[in-house]
Amino acid sequence: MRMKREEAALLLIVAFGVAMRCLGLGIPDLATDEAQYVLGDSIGHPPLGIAILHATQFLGQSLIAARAVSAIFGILTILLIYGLAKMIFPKRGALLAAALASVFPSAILFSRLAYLDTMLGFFWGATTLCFLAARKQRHPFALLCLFLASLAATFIKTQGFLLPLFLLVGHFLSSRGRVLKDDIFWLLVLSLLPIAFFIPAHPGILATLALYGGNMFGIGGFASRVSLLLFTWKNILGIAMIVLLCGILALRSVPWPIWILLIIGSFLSLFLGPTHEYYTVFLVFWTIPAAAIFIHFKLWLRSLLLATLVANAFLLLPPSPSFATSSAELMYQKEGWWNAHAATVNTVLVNAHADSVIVLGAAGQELRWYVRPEVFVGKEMDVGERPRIYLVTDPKEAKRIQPAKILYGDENLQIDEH
Amino acid sequence: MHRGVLLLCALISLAVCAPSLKRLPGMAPFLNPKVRAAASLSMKDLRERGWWLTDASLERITESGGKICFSWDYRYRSSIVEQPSIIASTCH
Repeated sequence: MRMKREEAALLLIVAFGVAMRCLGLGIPDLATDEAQYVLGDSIGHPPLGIAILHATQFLGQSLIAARAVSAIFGILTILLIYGLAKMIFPKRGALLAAALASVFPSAILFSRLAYLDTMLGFFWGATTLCFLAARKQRHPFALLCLFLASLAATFIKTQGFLLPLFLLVGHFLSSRGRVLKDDIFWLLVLSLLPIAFFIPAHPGILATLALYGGNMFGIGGFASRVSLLLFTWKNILGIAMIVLLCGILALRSVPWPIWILLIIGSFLSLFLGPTHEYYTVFLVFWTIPAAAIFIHFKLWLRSLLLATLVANAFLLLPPSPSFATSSAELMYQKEGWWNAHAATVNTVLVNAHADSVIVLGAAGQELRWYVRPEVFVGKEMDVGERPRIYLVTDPKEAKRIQPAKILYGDENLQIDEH
Repeated sequence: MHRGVLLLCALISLAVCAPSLKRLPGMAPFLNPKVRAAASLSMKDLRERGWWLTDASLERITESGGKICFSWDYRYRSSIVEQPSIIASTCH
């Protein structure tokens, strides 16, 4: 009876996590990366994830539709974590892992935003699950699912190939090189072939790598990278950092393919940009080993811990600004500036008969989402002589077009006619 | 071994590889360091036009009169409009 009550409570926490992923989708402004993906315009990544996000716009411009894709994959990831944990623990342990994942702040945050990482996390988790299932019982369906999940992961984001590649290497080593007649080995090889050809055929990917190589990408300033990474994790997770600590202590309770998932998911950002918050979405898989420890806690302690994690998620990521306290993630403390002002900005531009505008200052891709006329990036343009309408995002840049008539101005944006 | 599954996956893999295999010969000039150097200058040309590089798709690389030319297909896209494409060439 007590066990049934605990399972019901865990299911309630999962329901809370599902709701948290579906609420607040329209509060923050579309970020530059999100806009790029939703507009179907990225040269730095393979096309599958971008195509899925872009497809949401066929029925019209919708911020919520774009972000709902992440919400759906975020919810599916909870099920996936249940499935992965179920392969290792009894049902109650698996349910505990799913409940922990439901209230894991970074997983909630990026389930509400149109980045590619929640999708990638899902397909990495699915690849690991199918890999474990295929190793246990070489059923054709498990093998086919392994191939499809791995192929999808490689085409969501450029770094997606890392997990299948390391699973392939791990499988080769654990089979002591006897892989010539091994389905799993060949299926993983076949799933990696398309991305191996895609990357050299699309120079934008390598150009992006070259652009960020050496400063953002790499291992330079390693100690500072580690401290930045921990700082980023702490900022996003709050008290949920305890899940990582407990997960590390229980690492031996999970099989090596999950180790690969955890290690790649956690330390990828160490080399690709430790302040990139979107990589923290992969930390949600630490809930699997953490559940192995939490399940041995006394019920009152487990309940207290779960209640604290639920409160932590709600305080960090309130579903609406009206519930926001000072500890909430900044973007959920009030409605995004563009979401609130885009209509006003566009009215000013329509009244000025602007069929195109030049941006002076930071020009994020989100401008192409919010601004109706065609947007030109003024950074390297010779703008002095052009009689045009300018969006000034950096007041220091306004001197490039003096004298100018100010059509609109506030703390974030000025619209000038020159 | 499950030959049927392997065959099906090999066919899917080949089908997904095909567009990249078709593009690969066109990208071979990037193996030449002179082309890579010219490419970064060409990107600067595009930025001077105020273009979004993510909207510019590289169509061809040719060599004429000792210069390396890149042909671009630029199509501005926003949430509201998709402009007709502009074909542009940058040579260095």
